[in-house]
Amino acid sequence: MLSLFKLFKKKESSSQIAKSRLEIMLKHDRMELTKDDMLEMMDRILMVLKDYVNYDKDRVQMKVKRENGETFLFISVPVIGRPASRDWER
Amino acid sequence: MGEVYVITSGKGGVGKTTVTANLGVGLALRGAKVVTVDADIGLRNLDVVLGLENRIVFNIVDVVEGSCRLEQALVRDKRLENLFLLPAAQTRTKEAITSEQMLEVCSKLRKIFDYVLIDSPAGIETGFRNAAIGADKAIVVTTPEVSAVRDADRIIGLLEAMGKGVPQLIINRIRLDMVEKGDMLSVRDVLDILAVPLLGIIPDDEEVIVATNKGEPVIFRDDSDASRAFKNIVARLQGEDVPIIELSPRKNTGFWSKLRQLFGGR
Ligand SMILES: Nc1ncnc2c1ncn2[C@@H]1O[C@H](COP(=O)(O)OP(=O)(O)OP(=O)(O)O)[C@@H](O)[C@H]1O
Ligand SMILES: [Mg+2]
Repeated sequence: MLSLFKLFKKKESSSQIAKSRLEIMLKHDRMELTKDDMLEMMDRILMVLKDYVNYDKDRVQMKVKRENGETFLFISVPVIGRPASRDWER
Repeated sequence: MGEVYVITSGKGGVGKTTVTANLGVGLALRGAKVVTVDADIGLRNLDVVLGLENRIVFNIVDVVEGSCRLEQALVRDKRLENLFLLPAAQTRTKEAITSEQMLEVCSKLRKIFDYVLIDSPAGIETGFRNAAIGADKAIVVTTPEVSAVRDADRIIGLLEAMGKGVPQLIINRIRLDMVEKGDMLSVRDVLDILAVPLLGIIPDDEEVIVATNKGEPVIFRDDSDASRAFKNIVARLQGEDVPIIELSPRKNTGFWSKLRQLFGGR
């Protein structure tokens, strides 16, 4: 059954393989953030966060992971409390 | 004021020097005053491809170090009086020139010439950056291979980040027999992936190697497929609207007629 299926399935040409490999590769390459971009993005995210939570800034971490053709950005921020007051809550 | 082009690629060995030499000759054949600049300090090649290796006295490092005047380092081509070469130094490294010095050389050259064509070294470091820094426009050369296309994408990103705008692409060493069999990325595939404007395509042609052996750029050999490809690119550089697919009939086995068949023509 399997071999029959193989027989009818058109073989992918090596140029098609090349093209799809390139598409995946470049998606990642183009997503690559520079160190400066990362630091700047982190600063801006933390700037927003500090209005809502207190966090331990020495233990903030950021990671980029690639899994199954997708790129994930992980940021972990240890929350240690709430800010004392927030203007708009008054 | 002349235009300054950098010819670059990321990956090595894809044809930057061959392209620089042939476009230089082609533009000069059309009457423009052209200088080709070898920015591959330490691995000079452009002189050899142009057949001018025996005429070099000074080089670009001598110029920036003040050992000679710019005019003294320029080598005049032996066939075309309006074509020149500014050679690289063979015994120095990329660090022998700063980006400021390169900018200054480019601004002097553009006052003298209609076209300044800079042959970049492979890579994405100092050598590439120096080659590109003084350029108004960039030409990226790639072959239809995975690693070359990947590196071309990287270089395109870097050129854009350097403020050089969107570069134009030359796809070199195309083999239509392999494209037909599905064993080589087609022009369309490469353009889909890189998404930059196409300046031209050059077939893989033995004549290129024969020409390099002799130090006579292939564009001088009227009969070859590669020569026609280079002439078309030169015409496009000068603003002519030459279609990428050459339609004039030729012997059926040639690159161009095969290409026509591939695109569904007769
Ligand atoms: N269209 C072509 N057909 C056949 N051979 C070619 C073609 N283009 C280039 N070559 C050959 O490929 C080799 C590499 O070409 P070239 O030196 O121009 O590449 P390059 O990008 O300048 O290399 P490098 O990165 O080392 O400077 C040479 O031997 C050249 O003759
Ligand atoms: Mg070279």
